Amino acid sequence: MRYKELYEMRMRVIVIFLIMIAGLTFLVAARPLAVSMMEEMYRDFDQIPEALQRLLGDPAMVQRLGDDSFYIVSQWQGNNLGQFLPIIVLLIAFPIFARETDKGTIFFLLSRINRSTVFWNKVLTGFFASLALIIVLSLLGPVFMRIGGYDATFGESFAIIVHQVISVALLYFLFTIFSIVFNDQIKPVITGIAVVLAMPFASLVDALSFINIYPYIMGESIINTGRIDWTYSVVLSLMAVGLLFVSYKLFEKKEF
Amino acid sequence: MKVETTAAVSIKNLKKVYGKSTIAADDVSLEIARGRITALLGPNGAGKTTTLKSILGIIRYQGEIAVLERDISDVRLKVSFVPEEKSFYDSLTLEKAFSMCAMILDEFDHAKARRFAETFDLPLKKRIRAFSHGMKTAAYLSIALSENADIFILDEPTWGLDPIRRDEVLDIIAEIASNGKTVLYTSHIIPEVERIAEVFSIMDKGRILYTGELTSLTEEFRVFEMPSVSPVLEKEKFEKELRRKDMVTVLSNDPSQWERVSSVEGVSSLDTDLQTFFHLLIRGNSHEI
Repeated sequence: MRYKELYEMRMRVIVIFLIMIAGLTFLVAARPLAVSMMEEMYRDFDQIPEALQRLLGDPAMVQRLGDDSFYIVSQWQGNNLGQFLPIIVLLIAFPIFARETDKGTIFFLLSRINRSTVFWNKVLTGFFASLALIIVLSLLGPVFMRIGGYDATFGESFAIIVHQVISVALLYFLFTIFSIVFNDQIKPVITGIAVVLAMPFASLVDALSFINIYPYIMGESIINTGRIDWTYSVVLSLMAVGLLFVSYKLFEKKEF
Repeated sequence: MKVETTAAVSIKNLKKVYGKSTIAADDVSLEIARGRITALLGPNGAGKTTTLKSILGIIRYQGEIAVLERDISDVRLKVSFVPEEKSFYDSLTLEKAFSMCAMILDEFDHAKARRFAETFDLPLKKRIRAFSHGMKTAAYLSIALSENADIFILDEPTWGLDPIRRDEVLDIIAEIASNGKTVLYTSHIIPEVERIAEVFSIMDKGRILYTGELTSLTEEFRVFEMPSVSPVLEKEKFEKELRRKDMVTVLSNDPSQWERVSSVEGVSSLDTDLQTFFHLLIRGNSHEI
């Protein structure tokens, strides 16, 4: 059954991979240009309005961007891959159950294979595919830099991968719930996009800022302090397990 | 009438309510005989598909259902199912669909599936999404009938098939039963049921109205037709009465009544075929049999 799941998601995974590789290639090629552009942006930092200063972030970042390893970790793993991670996970998770329900093929599976087997095979195959995609894309950053002739190391890549693996788990199991609950393929996507868009807005309110996991996905604490945010990691991991449990129970009780 | 065979599927007091008030199955009790073809007949919304989904554990229900004397989760590999909607993974070619089934189902016979595809003239290299309705049905049947199951549950298995293909499918279903397999089969097409079913149940509004053997129908029942002004209608109480314009068709299961009624002028005796019996049961008055 895992083969069937992989077969069905192969095109999505390949297309996502190729698009992200194109982005990575551009980022490596634009390395000299990107740094000079950043220096230009920060040149009159003291004169620009405070709101814009907050948007641009710490000017010390520009100095650090001179380091090839820091450049690729912050700009690729952090900014680009990190920002797209929720969408990548959504694209893999939303059809897991919703497509089978929508097309009526779920009857083929459920009449022949017990629910728990169907659930675990479908959920874990998609989960590990998402993980593999994110980990491989993360690690390809420094590799592409070296191919481009830069002196980049994996440096903090592995620490950010820890953040990203936990983020994948949390988001994947959340989107799995949408895929189970809805009987068509449109609603899980719309709901998933709404969640992804709502996260940054939550950070506008201090009390809700913990909902915005973008800084965590992008490895903000690792880039600033060099350390994994273990407290948040544990909380998010527990939430991911809770969501997995809820999705299993929902699937167990769902009528088709 | 009770069917004297060991049950492949035993349903006791099945009840299924959708939402707060839509009763899809209401105290359904049914025994599906082993090694025979049982047809479940009924109009749209009678509760046939709900009953099948309950047997397969696809929906939750009240009551007791045993498949091969066990819970369905213990014997899934012994059950093959063709749903009402013949939706298969339509991005696959039929050849890949067979390969996928061979991978995920322990009891799937790939060679047999290819033989069925040949019988039904199905192209192996074409994607299923390009198939006509009839071809999709035939493709689904090729897969389901190639499983080494003990029970075949077929919901409208001839849907969309042309008459020639339908005959082929009915022959295959009959052959399956002749090899000792159990077939539970729903259909709207009564001549089909008459052709292959041995036992039948008629459902309406979530209830089983009648279960019996096809061969004993004529022994148990008589159908009479008479003018609506016939004095017989006032004197006798029939199991079912169906009024059409100025004529009334009645169903009787009382042999002593048959003598009395048939001797009255203007009363004619009709063949007690399944079609007439079905219509009287579903459309007739509400006396219970």
